[in-house]
Amino acid sequence: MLIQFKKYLRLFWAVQSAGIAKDIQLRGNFTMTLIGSLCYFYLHLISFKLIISRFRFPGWETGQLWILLFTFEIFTYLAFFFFWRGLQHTPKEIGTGTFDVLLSKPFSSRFLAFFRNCSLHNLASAIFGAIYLVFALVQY
Amino acid sequence: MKKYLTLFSQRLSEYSTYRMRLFVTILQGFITPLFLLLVLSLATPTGGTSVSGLISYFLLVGLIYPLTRSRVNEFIEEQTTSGEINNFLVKPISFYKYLLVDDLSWKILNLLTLAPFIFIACIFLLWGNSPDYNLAILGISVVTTAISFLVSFNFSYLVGLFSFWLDEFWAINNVKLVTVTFLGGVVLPYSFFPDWSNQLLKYSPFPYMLTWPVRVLRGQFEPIEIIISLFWYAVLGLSIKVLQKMAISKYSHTAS
Repeated sequence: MLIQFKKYLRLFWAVQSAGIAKDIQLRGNFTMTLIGSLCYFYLHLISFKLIISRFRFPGWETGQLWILLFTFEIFTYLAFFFFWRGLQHTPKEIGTGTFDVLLSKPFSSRFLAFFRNCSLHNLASAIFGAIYLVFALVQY
Repeated sequence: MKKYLTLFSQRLSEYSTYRMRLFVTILQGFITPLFLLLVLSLATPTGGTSVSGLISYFLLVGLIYPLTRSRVNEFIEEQTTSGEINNFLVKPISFYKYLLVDDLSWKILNLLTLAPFIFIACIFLLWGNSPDYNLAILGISVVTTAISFLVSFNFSYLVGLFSFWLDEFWAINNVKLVTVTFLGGVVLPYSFFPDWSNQLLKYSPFPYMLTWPVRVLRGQFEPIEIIISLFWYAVLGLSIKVLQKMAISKYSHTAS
């Protein structure tokens, strides 16, 4: 069991580091994807700021609401980081027949299908969320 | 002209066959407004904002948004990445007009489906006003819906042309979606925004893309808005002409 876990952990790390290396090499694309990702991040923040300037939520203080929002951001972007590419590519690959390549590998095809090379921009957004969360915890 | 009319009727018949897509598109327009309403109904307003005012605003946005928004940029990206755009380059048909007719037929179908609901909403909104005023408001809202669609279409088309240069197009699509829905008043009404930003936004294309007819139906219309929206329609149209020329030359250069 532990050997299997270590094997998959190594595989996970190998896939992720290859993905991150690719993202860093293609800097133009990475910058664009980071901007696209941060756009949603800041849309949430600005919309939230506008809403709490006009509404009060009974039982919740402003600081608690911000902490909730930043926690939500961290988990959302981490979920995107881990699963998005797998969820996006798997149905396409099944449709085109290229999923066979994954099936022929000596690892769990479900593991390989879901934990693809993750998108670095989502990890960057999750880190942004964590930094804001620390600020919110210090301030409130 | 005849070929575009034929295309229009073909598309109308094709889209009306797939009713599930129509249903999902209409439903999609209500998801964000209804979710916001649900959350805000549990909150206490503090700054003169009433939940009942928001209900009518978001319901109207849900009805008008499917008529004015355009996602033609996603289609352009599909066509350029797959290379299917070649079909348009070799045929005597304008890519811009083809997409405009295609999108227009989809909007007409949306309008036919949503018409009874819009009619009921208008009765509630305009109840108690003089018939002359109501007719004027309805006439202006029809004109503004048409202009909103055209501005929104041109903006989407212009954004779509960037797919000739970018590999990760979804990123710029995200930027477009966030900018247009937020600054266009779909996420939150303009009454939530600070005054200085409302003054600035008035001269940008965003208020004339998605929710302009909603504001007209709620009695917030200024004649100068027609001039500003037409100005932006022309600017975006000219930009499309220039950028498309550059994009096609770049595309042929890459393919050779």
